[in-house]
Amino acid sequence: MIELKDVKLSFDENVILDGVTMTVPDGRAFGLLGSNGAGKSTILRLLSGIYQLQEGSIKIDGEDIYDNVKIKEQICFINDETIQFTNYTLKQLKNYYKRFYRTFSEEKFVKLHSVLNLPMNKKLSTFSKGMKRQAIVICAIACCTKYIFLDEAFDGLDPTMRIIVKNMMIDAMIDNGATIILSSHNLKEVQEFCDTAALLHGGKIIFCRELDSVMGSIRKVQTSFPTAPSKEDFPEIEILHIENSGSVTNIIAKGTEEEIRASVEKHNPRFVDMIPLTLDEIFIYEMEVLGYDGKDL
Amino acid sequence: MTEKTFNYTRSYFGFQLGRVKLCTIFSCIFAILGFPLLVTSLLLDQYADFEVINNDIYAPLFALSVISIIGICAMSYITPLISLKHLYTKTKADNILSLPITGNQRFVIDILSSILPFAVPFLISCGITAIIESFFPPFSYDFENISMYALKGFFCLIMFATLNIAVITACGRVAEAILYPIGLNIVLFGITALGCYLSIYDCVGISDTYTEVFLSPVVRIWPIGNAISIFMESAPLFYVYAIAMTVVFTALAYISYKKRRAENIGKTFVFKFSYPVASTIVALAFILLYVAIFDLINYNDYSGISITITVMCVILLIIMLILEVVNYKKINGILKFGVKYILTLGGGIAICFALAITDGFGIAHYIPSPSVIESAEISVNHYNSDYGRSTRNYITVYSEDAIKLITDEHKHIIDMAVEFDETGRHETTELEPYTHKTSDFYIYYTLKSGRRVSRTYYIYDEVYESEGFWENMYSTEDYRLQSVNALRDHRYYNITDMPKAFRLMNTHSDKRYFEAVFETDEQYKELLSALEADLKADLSYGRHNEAPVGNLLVGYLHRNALDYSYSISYYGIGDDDFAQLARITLYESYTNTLTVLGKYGTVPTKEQNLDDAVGDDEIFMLYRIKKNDESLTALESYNDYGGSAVFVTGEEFQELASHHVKYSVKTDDEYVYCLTRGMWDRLHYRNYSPDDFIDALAEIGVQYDNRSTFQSDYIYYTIDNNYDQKLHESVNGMCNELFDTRTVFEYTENAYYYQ
Repeated sequence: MIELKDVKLSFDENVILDGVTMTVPDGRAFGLLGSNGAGKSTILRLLSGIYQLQEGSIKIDGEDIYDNVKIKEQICFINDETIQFTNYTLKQLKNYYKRFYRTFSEEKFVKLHSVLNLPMNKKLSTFSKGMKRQAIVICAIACCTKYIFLDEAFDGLDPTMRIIVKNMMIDAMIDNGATIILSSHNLKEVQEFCDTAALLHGGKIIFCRELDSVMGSIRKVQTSFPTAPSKEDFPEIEILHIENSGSVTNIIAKGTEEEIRASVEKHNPRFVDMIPLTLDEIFIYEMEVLGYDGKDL
Repeated sequence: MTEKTFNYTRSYFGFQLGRVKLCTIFSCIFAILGFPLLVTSLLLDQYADFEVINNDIYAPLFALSVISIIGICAMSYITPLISLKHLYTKTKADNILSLPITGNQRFVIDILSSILPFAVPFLISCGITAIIESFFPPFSYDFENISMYALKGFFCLIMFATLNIAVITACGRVAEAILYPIGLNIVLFGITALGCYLSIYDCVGISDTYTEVFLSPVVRIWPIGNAISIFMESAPLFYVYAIAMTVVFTALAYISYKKRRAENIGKTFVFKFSYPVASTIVALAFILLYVAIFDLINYNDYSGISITITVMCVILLIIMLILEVVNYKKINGILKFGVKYILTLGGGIAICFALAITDGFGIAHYIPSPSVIESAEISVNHYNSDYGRSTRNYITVYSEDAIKLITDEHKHIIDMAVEFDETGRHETTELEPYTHKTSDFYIYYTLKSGRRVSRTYYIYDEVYESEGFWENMYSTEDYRLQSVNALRDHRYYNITDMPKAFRLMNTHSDKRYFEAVFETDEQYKELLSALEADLKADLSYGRHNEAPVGNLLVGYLHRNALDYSYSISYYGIGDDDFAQLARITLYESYTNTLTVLGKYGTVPTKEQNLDDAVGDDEIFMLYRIKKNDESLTALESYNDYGGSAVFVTGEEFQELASHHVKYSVKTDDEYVYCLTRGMWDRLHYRNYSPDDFIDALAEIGVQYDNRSTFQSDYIYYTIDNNYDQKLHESVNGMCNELFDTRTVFEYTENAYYYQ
């Protein structure tokens, strides 16, 4: 299990993480969401033992990570770049991971490679961006580590490949009980793959919950009132967004379906339609509340 | 791979070695082609038949070996750069730092993989060089030490590499990691050299060996330069120093490695203090450079100080602005920058003035106490001692009285120089900047601690007064016998596979010189004993009333000398294979020596054969003028072929003068320009200008006014760097007078030709 408690990290005078607390249970697919510069990659680097903790605590299976070989051998971290491997062939890349991970499975690598059929002896510099990503991801999965951390895992992958890679990762979770943390801007992929997610903004956690719970806690209501309402008319619920367009009012609100419906119906709506939100929409509305909406443009 | 055999440290080590594979390959090539090839090429030079192995083979091999040695030095810089890429490349850092290996393990492997790829091949090459040398013993002093030089080079490279590693661990970007190790070495060199320049030169003259003696803390952290300067030293101190510095640099690298934070990769420096330190060092180096170039603080003349400070301010501002923009991409706070600028400027000015005013914090005045000195040596250019050459006589004394004489003379020299510096140097140099001639005093102490102290002082001749120093030195038995002791040096004494030869150079018969060859060590010892006995008895330095019977050139013969040179003394014999070790003037009172020489085939006499000395087509170079009670009694001359003559009679003087002084240029100083074999040679005599010479002849009743016409197709004369317009005009005028049909006047960089 991964536990972060009140983690604070600053680079010079810039606060990168400001009291981050979250828990990732074993065997989960965990998504790290957030605006650019929110601290997602920093968290992954802290979890991989690259960065040293300044304040708070980070434990994996109850132990510190930094300089801890016992824990680090259970972690495989893939960052969002592929440039460091461009002079490698896939064969060399495989050998690189095999050299450093005692759990590396040649058999698994062969199996994964047979699906993607990437050239083994060509340099990665000749690969497309997506192919490079595939190559690195199959190596990471073949390491068979307990923890796999992927920064922008689906970057550059075409839709078919995204599905294939996702399935590979799901297999890894089933076969090895792997815990996967991935950061991504592609919320659809996170929504489809992860069961838990954390939203970061400005170094702080906005929420960290199971996705089902996240999806169920924010709803869009399409309704119509005799007079256009404002946020203040619904003190019982937290309104993230309200928009009156002619006689139709769209409300994005936090709460259970029952709570929201009860609050809306107090104002005698002509009709009430409850529409589920996508993760993309949730992200946008949550960010909007935090002022990350580009309205100034 | 099973768990039992899996070892992360080994895996990482293997990975790192793979990263520097190319460096290893190049290092192996360079190592094999370096010192082993160098020693081989020199062996070919010494052993092989000149007719078969000539310069066409030797020179390319030698050049290739030198290039390879430079190559492996470059590898000691490149290998750490490649091996430590993950310290200054973010993407690589992610990969390496997330691996299951501790920081300490990674550090050890990083250091090893930065050093072993070039160090192991280099060390093997040292071994190969030593093996080659052991199978083929070299003939000369320089040669027999090549494997030792190689070993020193090995330690220097390790030291250099560890400094580079320490610097790289403080850098966060590629450009800085590449440039700052080079920059730091250059800057430390600059500070050291220019600091020395400012302090010593400004005081009493420049020390040409300053790097090993001066500003020791700074100098000693300057690996490249220091390696060069101490490379030739043989003391075990070198190894102690090299190892100590390697340990210090490694420790610094470790501290930096542990303290650096991965999140700072991508920044110019990973430590906050690195930038101000770097900018200050660079700025100070430029300030020192400026001061040295424009020389405005020299001669205790502070009239130009305001200009100096203004220029320093501007230079420093420009440098710091550049550094600021490079580092921060902007001026990082005007106030902050201003404070930094003022502090750096203040520091720079303070250091410059402190060095100049305190004469290098007193080091220029430092004279070791005689009680701590193991041995001492003093040599003077332009002031003949009875033995050795003009610049260094390499005579080392060990006795208390002789050492005391040298330290007293050392103090005397400094006092004279300082006095002159304070009273008249500026004025005279301003008036006649190139007409003042100097004597350079080289003083070298080896202390009982093993430390060496060397100084060279350039003193104007008009200032120097010897006050009987050389006579006093000669009166010490230690000094007199050192020339014999030098001949007992095991480096020559143990050369058993070739005969030692002694040539008595005189022109007392039809032969220009005699040669005595000593086939066995016993014969050699016999001569040295005889010489020692004669020298012990001879206390008449500078007071000989007799003409010498000749000069004993002591050396040894060797085969197939292509390009022989010897560091103690080299006499340009030129046409055979004789190399000289020492030159000792023999007088009739040296009966023991003359007896032994006679026993082995050389019987010197004082009979003169001036025809041989002053042939039709050869004009001898005047070597020494002897005086007795201010009267000329004897002259000696030598020619390039080893012939010599001693002139004692008036007729002989006249004969000599007709060859030597027939064309001369009167100058204000003490130089004589004689036309010899179609060449104008500048010869220096402290006591006699040409006119003085003619006057001196007149005093002993020899009238000389016969300047005959010189017949030659061309003449040639050189001018030195201190171009003297008056001299040139004088010589030019004389040439015009001599050559009615001067057809070509050509000037090259430093020579004039007349045809």
